[in-house]
Amino acid sequence: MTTTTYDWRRAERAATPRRSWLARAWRSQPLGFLASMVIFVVFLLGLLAPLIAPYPPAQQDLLVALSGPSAEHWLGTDTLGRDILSRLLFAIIPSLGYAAVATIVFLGAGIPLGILAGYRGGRVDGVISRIAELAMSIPAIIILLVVLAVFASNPMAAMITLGILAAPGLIRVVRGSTLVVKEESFVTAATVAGVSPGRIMGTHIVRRVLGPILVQASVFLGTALVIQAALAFLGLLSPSNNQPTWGGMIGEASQVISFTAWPLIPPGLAIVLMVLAFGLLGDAIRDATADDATLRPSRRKRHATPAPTAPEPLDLDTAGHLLRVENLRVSLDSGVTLVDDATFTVNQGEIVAVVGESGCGKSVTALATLGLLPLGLHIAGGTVEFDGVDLRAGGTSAYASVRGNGIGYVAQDALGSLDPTHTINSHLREVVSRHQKLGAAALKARTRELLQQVQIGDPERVLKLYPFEISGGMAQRVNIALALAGRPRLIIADEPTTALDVTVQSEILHLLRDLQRSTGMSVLIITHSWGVVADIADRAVVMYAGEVVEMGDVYTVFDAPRFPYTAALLAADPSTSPLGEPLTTIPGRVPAPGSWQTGCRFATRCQFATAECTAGSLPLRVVPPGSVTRCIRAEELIAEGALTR
Amino acid sequence: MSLFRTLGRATPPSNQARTFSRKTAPRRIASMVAGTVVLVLAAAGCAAGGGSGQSSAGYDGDTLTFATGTVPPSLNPAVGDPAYGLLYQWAYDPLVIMNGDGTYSPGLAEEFGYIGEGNQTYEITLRDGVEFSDGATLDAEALKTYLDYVRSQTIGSPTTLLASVDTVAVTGPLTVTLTLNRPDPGLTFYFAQAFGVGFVISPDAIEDPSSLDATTAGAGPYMLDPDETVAGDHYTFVQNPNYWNPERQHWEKVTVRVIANASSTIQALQAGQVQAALGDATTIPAAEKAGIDVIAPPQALSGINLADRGGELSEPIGDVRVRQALNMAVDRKTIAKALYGSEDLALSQYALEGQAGFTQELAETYPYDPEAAKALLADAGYPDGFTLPVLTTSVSGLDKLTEAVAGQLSEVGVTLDITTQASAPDYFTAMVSKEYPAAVIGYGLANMNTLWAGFINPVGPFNMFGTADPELDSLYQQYWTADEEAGVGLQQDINARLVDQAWTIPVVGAPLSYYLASGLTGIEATPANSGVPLITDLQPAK
Amino acid sequence: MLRLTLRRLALSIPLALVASMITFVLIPFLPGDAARALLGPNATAEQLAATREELGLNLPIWEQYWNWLTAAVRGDLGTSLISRQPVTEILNSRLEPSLSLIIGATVVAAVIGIVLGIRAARRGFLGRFVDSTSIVALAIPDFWLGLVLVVLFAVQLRWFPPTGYVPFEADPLLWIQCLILPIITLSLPALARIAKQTRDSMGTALDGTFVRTLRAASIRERSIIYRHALRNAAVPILTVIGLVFVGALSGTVAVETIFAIPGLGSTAVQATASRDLPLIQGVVVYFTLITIAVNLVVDLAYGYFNPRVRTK
Repeated sequence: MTTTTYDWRRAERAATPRRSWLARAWRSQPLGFLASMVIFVVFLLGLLAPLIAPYPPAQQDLLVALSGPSAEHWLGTDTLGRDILSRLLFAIIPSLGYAAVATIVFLGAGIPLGILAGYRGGRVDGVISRIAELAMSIPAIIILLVVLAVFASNPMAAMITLGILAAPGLIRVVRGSTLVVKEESFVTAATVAGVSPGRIMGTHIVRRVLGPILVQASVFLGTALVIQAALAFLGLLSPSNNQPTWGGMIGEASQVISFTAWPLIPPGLAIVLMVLAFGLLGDAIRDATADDATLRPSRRKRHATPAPTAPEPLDLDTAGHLLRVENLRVSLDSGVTLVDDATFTVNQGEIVAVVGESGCGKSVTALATLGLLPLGLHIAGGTVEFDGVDLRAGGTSAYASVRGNGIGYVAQDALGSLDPTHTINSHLREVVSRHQKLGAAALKARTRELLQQVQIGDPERVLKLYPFEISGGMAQRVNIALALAGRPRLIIADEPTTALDVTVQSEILHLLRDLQRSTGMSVLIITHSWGVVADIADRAVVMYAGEVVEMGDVYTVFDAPRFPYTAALLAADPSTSPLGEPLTTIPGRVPAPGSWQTGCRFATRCQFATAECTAGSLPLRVVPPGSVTRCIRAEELIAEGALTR
Repeated sequence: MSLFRTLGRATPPSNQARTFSRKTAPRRIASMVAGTVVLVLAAAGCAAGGGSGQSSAGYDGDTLTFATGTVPPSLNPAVGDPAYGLLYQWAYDPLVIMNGDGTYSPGLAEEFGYIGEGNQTYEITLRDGVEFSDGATLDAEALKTYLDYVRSQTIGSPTTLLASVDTVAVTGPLTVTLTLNRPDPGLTFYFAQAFGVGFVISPDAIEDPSSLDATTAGAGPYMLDPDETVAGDHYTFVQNPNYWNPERQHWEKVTVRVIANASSTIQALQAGQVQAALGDATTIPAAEKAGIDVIAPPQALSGINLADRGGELSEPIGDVRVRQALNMAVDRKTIAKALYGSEDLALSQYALEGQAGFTQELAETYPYDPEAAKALLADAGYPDGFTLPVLTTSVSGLDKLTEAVAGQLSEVGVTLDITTQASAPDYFTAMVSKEYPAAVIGYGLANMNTLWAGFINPVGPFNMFGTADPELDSLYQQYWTADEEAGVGLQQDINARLVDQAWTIPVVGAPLSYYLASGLTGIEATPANSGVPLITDLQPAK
Repeated sequence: MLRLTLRRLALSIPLALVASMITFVLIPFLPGDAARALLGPNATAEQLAATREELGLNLPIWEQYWNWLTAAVRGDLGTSLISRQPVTEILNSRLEPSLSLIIGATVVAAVIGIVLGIRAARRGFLGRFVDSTSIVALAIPDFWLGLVLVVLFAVQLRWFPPTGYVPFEADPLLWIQCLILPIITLSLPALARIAKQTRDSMGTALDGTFVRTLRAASIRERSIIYRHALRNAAVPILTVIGLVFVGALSGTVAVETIFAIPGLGSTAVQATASRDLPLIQGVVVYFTLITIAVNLVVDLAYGYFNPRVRTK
């Protein structure tokens, strides 16, 4: 769900300069790049073998048989006195060649059948899948042995057979990917446009499933190389004097292993190197073609952008708050700031809503408060104080002691927040036991009590269910119950209703409000919907582009916003706009992190902006009676009535 | 890795792995390199050091473990093959013992030999008071039962060897007379331990022949313990309570283990898992280096069989000058040293030193002389050499021998086009199919009689093209009817003729080898007794 | 669940027999035959013919297969052409060594691999170490590793016996000693695979939303890892364990040859070399049945760890 998570990679990419193709390849997949270079170099050496090898591969020198490395023979000699280094070089093309043959057959059998099965579906899919399943149960090794006996130890026959026998594995992968790609809109578009199924399969789909195919191909290359070597070792492949293979060399070496172990090493290492290279290449291709944004745990840059001037502390009445967040700064490990100077408070027993568009940093702020920032982000500055305890200073132990029994958390993804392998009962018992030592009967009673607290009518039934057996709304209730298990003083709810049906939304919201009333706990609710704010919030905190721009009690914020952005947002809310008139929108776009200008970040889109708005940093300041704003023209605009709806 | 990793279900699409930034990549590479370097050094360390010598204390246990590479599918010697003699001997004493100097001693038979002229009648007188392990008595009737049983077989080599026997008659309580249908001087040799026709089986057991597949019923020092035996893996022999000569029972228990891989055999010896083993020509250098006692009598003529002497497939080979030239183009001593560890194993004739047919002068007939070889080839009409298709097999390292010969022949312009059949049955099938004019050969040498059977005989497997030589035939006619003394000269003549006609390129007399832990003695194996000792003489050195 | 299991079991026998048919299709093209292997080089043509007749090799191939099939469904896999013993007897005696090896290798690889993978999932030094070494370990051919191990440990250091196999009943200590080197050979790359997969799957599982919820509820990290993340990661890990087992089955061919272990793998090679048809067929059937059994066990295990599969 990208409504609340931010595309960090895009942000990072936006913040770094472009480089050449090679440099980018090296930067993003260094090992894969290195691996492909190695493969290329080895292949080249193989082609050049007749030119660069010191001796012909078949040249014998019986007088120096089985000697170790020496000046004339850098890697020593084998049983017949042939130079191992030369044979190693001459073996490159045959060894890789046989592996390539197997791979070509592998791809040739696997790709068309896999795409056919995935695209066509139905009976075709059924037949192909059954045959593939059958083939995968057959012991391929025996078939290989028999084939080799039939075809007089012919390596080509063995490699072709290997490719065919391994194809079912590829068919499965390709079929899976095809099924996914088939559903994508561009395929539908092509079908509708009358493109023949053959062309669709041959061009569009192949291109999209190319990633997984290449991964499988590179891994299989390595496997085929090893299998060919093993068959040669077992003496099942007819050896050739002028076309040595690494496997054959290992086979010959194994016959004299009691005399000397050295001839075993060079061909073995050659195989290890190549298989390693193929494997790394496959890994690199897989990572490069990944769909989701992958987080990189890169080292934190110690020399980040210079710290901005410390913002002046806001002169709020700072005593007695349950939660106090002041000047909170959250940055990516690479230095890009996502939240800059977040400041707000939550008092005991109130419901505070943090509201703003997606990407303004509200979710990050909530996670930072709990110390649950994902990998790649860290708190770069500011204070988080809960019930008088400075959490940042106390570190992980402070956070750990406060989670669950001080602060509870409810996430947006209701179903995703529950472990699909555990029943609801298991979830509740685990969390309850974490905070209280209860006997069996008491534990049972408490779990039921919690479910009733979140207004689930038939707790007995629900307890036995698994998360995938309940609806989103029910799941969210369970999540709330889990959050309540430790009897927290504050619940942070991150867009708790966004993913739910409209009718269920209001149920959950009212549940939260009822809970607040009955237990006296506070709620910090993150939302992008003014409807939610209007429904249950006591106070609202408006965020824009990583900063808090306005704070105040909900009535004031609604009727008399103190920040142009708030006003504009309210004006643009469809649910409150008059019918029949064009919907007001805010021109321009939210500036991305990293590209924030000095001064007011809304200035470029604000109809009231002046030159002073972007002159220097704008601190939060109190605007009586009880609002906080960042706009330097707030009083002016209020007086003009420009902000009132 | 396991060998066949991706043959199976597809690896599940791996989830996004944690990739590493540029900074950690070099570190990973370094750790990978470091790991492999350690491995290389460790293994290379052993290359330099080689196998370390085993403990110097002699073996003094009362059980013996003997390792061999192959075992027959059935323990019945009558349907078996001499190659498995080292298994049969523990339970079956032979009629005749062949000593290391080529003379014969009594085994189960006290007197044996031809009577009359022309090698057409043979008489055996048995030792008195011998019992089989199942209690039956060894007398003339029992011997006749056994010999008739062997002759009635359709598979196995013993029946072929007794093909010349027409009738078996009991001519005394312990005496049997054999009447032959043609002159055959080989019987005494066949009744000795090397060829094993003399492994007499109890008449009681012969009544139920299938029992002989998995148990033994002989008159040897030991008998099989089927409970402690897993066919194809290991065979356990315990002392035969009825044995006629308890002094020869040197062990409480003998275990014969099957170890197919020659290198593994040496490792087992070094580790003390076995005390004696049938070795392999290709591992003799390794065994010696490992400090193992090696007894390695030359035994088999190993070289290239130029079978197509009629020139059917390969015209050049049909010319005797070409064949002689090839014999001059091979440096036997260097090959012998490189592949088999000793120059002395070089062989250029059809008998081994110590055997009757051996002549020292014949060793000089084809000195190593590539120039002379090329000249002779030019005389024969092949100044630029030619290509010769050759069949070889990887059994006993014969493929390495073939390649070594190929390397030398290429110096005189003759290219060997080598086809390898890995397993012995495949090799034989291909060989007798007459698709190849030449094939590698490894043929055990004993005397000219055994050489005839498989090699000179027009229907012998190693004479694929059925070539014949009138002078050879005439020599053999005389040899078959000659007595032992005259036979010696005739064998030498046959040898000389074969060398002159260059029927093969002999290269080495590949040894049969026996590896012994220190402190063991009793193996009397020489070319004179075909390299096959009386294995039951193996005992701790006192 | 039960129905699924029964259906699978019922399908396994026909599947094994179909697999056998594939080898049979190839048999007519085999040069040479068991008679030659049985009798050796000195056999005369008459002897060969007589033996072929006796072994039933002169019948048309379809008749041979039909005879074999009708006997096989009754559990009689025929008699070895070479050793004249019942195939089932031969293979059953070879089962223990192979299974000791395969199961041993799989268990070792699974236990160590999973533990390593879990530790590595939390990044840091161990994570990088596992990544690097597992990639190298995966690249090492098992037969080469076996040879190197033999040279190192059995010949140089004399810590372990280089060859042979001792049944468990005979001497448990020696049984283990004989199996250590072969198991290391088979399990090293398998271990790497399992560790890698565990690391990946655990990494993904630990990224899941529910993990954040659990952490927010202050559940201890150890519980999160073992009670929650591991269960969610179980399915791909089990798949790889299944693959590893099947891979080890095939790997026995080379490993049993190197270490002179009388198991199914070495039997396969010998049977093919001597053209012992019933034995080849028997090995095919055994291998297929074992593979099917493993797949079935893995599927059942899925159900245990993944409730979604159970109720379907």
